Amino acid sequence: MNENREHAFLDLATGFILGNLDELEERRFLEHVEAGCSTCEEMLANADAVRLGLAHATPPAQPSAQLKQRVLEAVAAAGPPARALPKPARTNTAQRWAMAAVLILAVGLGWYGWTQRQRGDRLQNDLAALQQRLEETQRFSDAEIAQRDLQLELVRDPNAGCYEFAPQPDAPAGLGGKVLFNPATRRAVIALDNATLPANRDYELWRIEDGVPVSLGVLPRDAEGAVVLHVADAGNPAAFAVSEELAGGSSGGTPRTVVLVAAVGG
Amino acid sequence: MQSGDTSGLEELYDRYTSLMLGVSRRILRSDDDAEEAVQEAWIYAWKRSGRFDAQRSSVAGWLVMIARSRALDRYRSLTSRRRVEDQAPPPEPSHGDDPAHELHGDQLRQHVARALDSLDANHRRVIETAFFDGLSHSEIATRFETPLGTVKYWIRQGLKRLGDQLPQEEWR
Repeated sequence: MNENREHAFLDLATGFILGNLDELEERRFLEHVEAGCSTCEEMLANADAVRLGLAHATPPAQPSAQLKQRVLEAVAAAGPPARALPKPARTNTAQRWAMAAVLILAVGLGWYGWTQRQRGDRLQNDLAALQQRLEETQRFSDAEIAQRDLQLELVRDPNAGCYEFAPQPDAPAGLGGKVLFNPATRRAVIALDNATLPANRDYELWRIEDGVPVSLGVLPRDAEGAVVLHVADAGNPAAFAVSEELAGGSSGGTPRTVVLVAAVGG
Repeated sequence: MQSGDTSGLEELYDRYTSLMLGVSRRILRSDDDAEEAVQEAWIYAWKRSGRFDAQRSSVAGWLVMIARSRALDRYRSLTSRRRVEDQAPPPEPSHGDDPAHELHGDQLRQHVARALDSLDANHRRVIETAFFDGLSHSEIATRFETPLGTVKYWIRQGLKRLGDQLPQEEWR
């Protein structure tokens, strides 16, 4: 497994040097380097020279006089350079996630207070922030209200447990979430945050029973990475897992790259 | 440029545009398209100058990669053109007016040529394809009908040798 992970990052390193990584891959690779990988850092030391070397291998080209004028005019029209990235606008999807997450966390807070008191402060902060977002939401459709009612029914059931996903080594920074699961009804609600992916990738949900992964389907996409999925029949798993797959989900029936795992009852 | 100083932009433009344009012409094989791509690259660089990380790249390297990216985007959007390697030869190189810069550039290009010539032919071919065609490892493997693992190995070995051969400090 370590050898495969090392090879994966070496491929990302060469892809980074040659400029062929997508945004997600580049982010993961740079996080890996910043976490302290001397091998990749050593490769990166030559990146600039390699890129400029390849550029200098092409014949030089004299630009037209008009090009400079066009560039200067376009820059003047663009105004001063941006200093910070703008915050993404809130969407209804994020609001729905906030609503569901508040419900989950509202009950989860009680469960954690009973089972894991040391997490109380963090979850209280989450709850306060999400409650504030919930107060800012717009009116919801009847379907969304019905979904909320089902989720409320689930979270009020004393048999339900709330389990936090543990990020795995290949998980992107910030990816996380929780699963609320009722073994009596076999119903589950999954809420993820920072679950953004490029167009050629999808997250897929799995249940792990007797050591065997069974797909529960590809997770919906959300522009802000706030994903909520309601599973009518999640079986009787020992754990839930989230994997990163090529677009459309796993073709082989087994997870490609597991990024999150939540043990049930653990 | 990060402070919004357009005189700084002009200086950078005069210094690096010929290099950026050379890369764009190699990718797009058209003077007009290459200039359009370089124009987009400068606007992109201006707007995102705050993102430049001097720890990771020289200014020249950063600008070259932006120009390459814009050229590849433009190439992919030009669906009416088919880029066949033997069909449209790249335009003839053009030259600037600064003899000293030309001399330095010539010496540097000779150094680069020697470094590239020192590579195994396959290593060089896959690296140039990855850089100038923007192909992924698997796409290169398909194009050259070569196992994916072999392509990855060639690229790693080629980049390592190229990095060892090329100067670290002579770039402008």
